Amino acid sequence: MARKPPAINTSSSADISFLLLTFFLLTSNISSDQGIMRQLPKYSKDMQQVDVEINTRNILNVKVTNKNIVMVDGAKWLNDEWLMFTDNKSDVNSTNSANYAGEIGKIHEIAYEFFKNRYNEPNLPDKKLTNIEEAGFGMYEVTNGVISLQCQNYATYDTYIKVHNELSRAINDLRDELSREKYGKSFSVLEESNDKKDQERVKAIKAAIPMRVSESSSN
Amino acid sequence: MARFKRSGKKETPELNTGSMSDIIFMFLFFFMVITTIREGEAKVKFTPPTATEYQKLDKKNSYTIYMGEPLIEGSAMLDNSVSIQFNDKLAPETTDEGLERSVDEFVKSSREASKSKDQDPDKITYYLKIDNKTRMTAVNQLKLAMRKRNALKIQYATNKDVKKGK
Repeated sequence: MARKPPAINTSSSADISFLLLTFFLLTSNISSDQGIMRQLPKYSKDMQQVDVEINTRNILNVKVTNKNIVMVDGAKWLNDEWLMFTDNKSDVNSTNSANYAGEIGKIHEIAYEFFKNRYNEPNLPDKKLTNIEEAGFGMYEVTNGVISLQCQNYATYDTYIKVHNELSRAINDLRDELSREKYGKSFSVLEESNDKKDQERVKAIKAAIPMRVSESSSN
Repeated sequence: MARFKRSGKKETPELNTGSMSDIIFMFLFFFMVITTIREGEAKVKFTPPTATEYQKLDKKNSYTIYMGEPLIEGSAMLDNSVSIQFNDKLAPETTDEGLERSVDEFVKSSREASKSKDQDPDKITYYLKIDNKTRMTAVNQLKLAMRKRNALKIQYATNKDVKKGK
């Protein structure tokens, strides 16, 4: 007796397709937009008069030259020398390599030391004891340091962003340290948390370690 | 043994196509997810610089400005042959005043759009997608125009730094 062959069981194919779907959903990187946040200063017509006198110990000068060499005022560490940073070493060799200090990726170490000033050295920024009200943070010695960033006209945007990235990295490291010490959590965990208490803590830490970068364009 | 004797002609079973639609739907959904992400088209060439200390963009209340080499010939260009794109069109003028006018227009339209989406127009983030080879003169020109129009909260578009990671 000729029997009809049984149909292939397809009930599991739906499961398989669902598995594939979830696999794609989880692995596909939905290209999220991201970037470095900055607040621009307010515009005022009489720019010259806005210049606030700041003690020289509180300023760290950073310059990006036309040749994309980043110069950091080394007066605080060396004797009136500019430290040079670049990603392309040949640029330095063609000029003056005596002050070559490393790749741009090392600038954050300098910015970190500048803002931290752990031994209260007289040539690094002073600190002001401030009461931070957010989250009952209490008294904290807030640094008065400001980084002054100057860009020459033919510097490229790429180098400029790299410098910004390094400065952010220094600040984030400092905030992270404080956050771990005070709350036992990393700063990024606090920032991502939706808890109101954590949001207050984020504000407190931001007030304790402010990001002060002043920019000016020069020739 | 008759029981195990094969019947001479055996039809091959039909391939069940019931799951085909599932798979097609799956692809459909997949592509829908991918394509809805991009809003607006860039009319300039642009490769963002890389960084490690980036933050996610708040998409609900942000408006994008592009800057880079224009893809269409004959566009007005700033220093070092870059153009600025607001919304869907390139800035027609490149003088400081002309740029300010374009920025003004863009800021106004963004604020209106923000209001209609129940967002705070004073908290708009301007997302700057700038090509990494752009000279700082052009960037500073745009930034100055934005400052004059009180558009102060900005975010520089960056890519993840693959080498260093995070």
